[in-house]
Amino acid sequence: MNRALPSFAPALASLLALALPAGVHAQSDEDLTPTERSFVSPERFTTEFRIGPYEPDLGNNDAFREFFGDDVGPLFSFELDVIALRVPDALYLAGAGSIGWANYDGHTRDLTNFDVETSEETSFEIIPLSLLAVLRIDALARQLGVPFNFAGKIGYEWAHWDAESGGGDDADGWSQGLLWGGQVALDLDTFEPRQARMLDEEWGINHSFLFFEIFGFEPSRSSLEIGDVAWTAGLGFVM
Amino acid sequence: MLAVPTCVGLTTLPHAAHAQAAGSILVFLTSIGSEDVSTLGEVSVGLEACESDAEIKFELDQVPAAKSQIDVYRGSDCTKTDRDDPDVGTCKFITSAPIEDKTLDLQVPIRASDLASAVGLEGCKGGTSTPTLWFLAVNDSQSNEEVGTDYGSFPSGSVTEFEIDADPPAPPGNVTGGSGENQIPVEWDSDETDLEEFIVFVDSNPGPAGATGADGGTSDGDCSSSVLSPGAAASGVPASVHRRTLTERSATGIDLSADDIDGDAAAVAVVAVDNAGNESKLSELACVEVVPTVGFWDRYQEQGGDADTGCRASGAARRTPLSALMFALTLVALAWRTRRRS
Repeated sequence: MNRALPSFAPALASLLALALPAGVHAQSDEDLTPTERSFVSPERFTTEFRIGPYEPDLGNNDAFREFFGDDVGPLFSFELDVIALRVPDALYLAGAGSIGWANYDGHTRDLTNFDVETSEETSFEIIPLSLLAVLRIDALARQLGVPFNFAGKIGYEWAHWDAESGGGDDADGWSQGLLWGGQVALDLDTFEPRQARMLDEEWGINHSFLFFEIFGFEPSRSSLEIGDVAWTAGLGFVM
Repeated sequence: MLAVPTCVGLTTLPHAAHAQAAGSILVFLTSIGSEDVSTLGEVSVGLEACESDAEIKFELDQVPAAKSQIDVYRGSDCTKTDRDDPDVGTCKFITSAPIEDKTLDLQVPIRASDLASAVGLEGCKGGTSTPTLWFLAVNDSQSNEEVGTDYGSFPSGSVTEFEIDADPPAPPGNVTGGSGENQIPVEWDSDETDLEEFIVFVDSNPGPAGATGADGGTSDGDCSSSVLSPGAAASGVPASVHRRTLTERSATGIDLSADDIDGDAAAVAVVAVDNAGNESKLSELACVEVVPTVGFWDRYQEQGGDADTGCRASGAARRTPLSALMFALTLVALAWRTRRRS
């Protein structure tokens, strides 16, 4: 809306134009309205909530299959990546730690007749801990709008295992060895960018994704052979 | 029109329309037989107390000195002057007690049989009742005289529920027994909702299937018992029979140990106990067996698996899964701190 200007305004404007630095333009009403602020919270770490089947590979030993059959857990785990390097809209380099849990249940067998299953329980539990280096590439999603991210992981795992029967502890220990993983993720921001922005503004969640990962644990020769190549899937957040 | 004096916050009503005031006598339940129940909020008089005609003792405070008797009734409101008229109300006289020493708290005993009869459970036959008792201070027993505020009712005070429960629970069904070396399960079903515990009786000298039991009953399972008879009273089980008590109201099983069975096999029966202490009859028998077993780890070793694997404790402190949790919490704390700093 135009304001009514006093009669001496042109003279005043001339004086101001001389006094003000060059490059200052006369303001319109639209210019007085602040521009919309663009908010992006810092990206510091990534979290993953993971679930998938896992069956320890005991090599030629059939004990696992005899007592637990087709039991594949599942293996539940949580991973936390601390982002060390972020190339904007391209990739992350992070150090990560994870913890998981899987349990397998069965029944003991009659010592005099192995084919006879008793009512007594026997179980095997695994709690894997790991430290990893993670490379995540999100250039496709950020720059091209193609909703796929990729990640490669390598590290070391220490897995605590515990065998029980009849309510008592038979044996427990640690297996350790190389851990690797390759991941493809579906970037959810691509589908709902406005919701993604609101999530960042309200909760500090920069990005969210669904992922599928193939991973492998290769225990050392001196460890109980509870390694496996398995898959896992879940939900992740960059925060 | 009657002038009605008023005070701040109060209105005095005309005498004819005066609302029934609370009684001035305080009533406390102190014991049922030899059991002290003075601290309980919910009280049940069970079948055992009823059948043994236990004495249910009440203590009354603030008994008016001018009165000579305490009449005890049960009903919905027994302070009215026509309380003995069966055509008018539900009140039934239970007992009377003299007010002998007006300076002390008055003890009023009521026989469980009298109470059961008053609530319609003559002979302590199966059933439940939650009566309200009225303790009326009068000059002549059962005289239907006006009591005004010289009465007390029960339940009151800290007691929120008073029940006569002469209804024992049904015995657990589908009782099954298992086998094992150190963990031998017994399982059952029960639809009862007011249970307090289960008792599992273990006869370590079972007989063969089809043998006659103690009361002539026989087992339909793979074993029998000379001391546990399905359908018999739990009170008839000899004290020498081993028993395990499970104080879980919704329990559906228990794991017996080899020590519970004390042998190679046993016959078991289960009894349900409700909140009033009423016991069910013995359930059907189930058979349990102690057998040497082989578990996953035993088998793994038999097939050449190496038992000395992993980072076993050898001088250094032995890690436990607790350290795994600490590891995870440390990671989360570091990440949170990093985020706060940003």
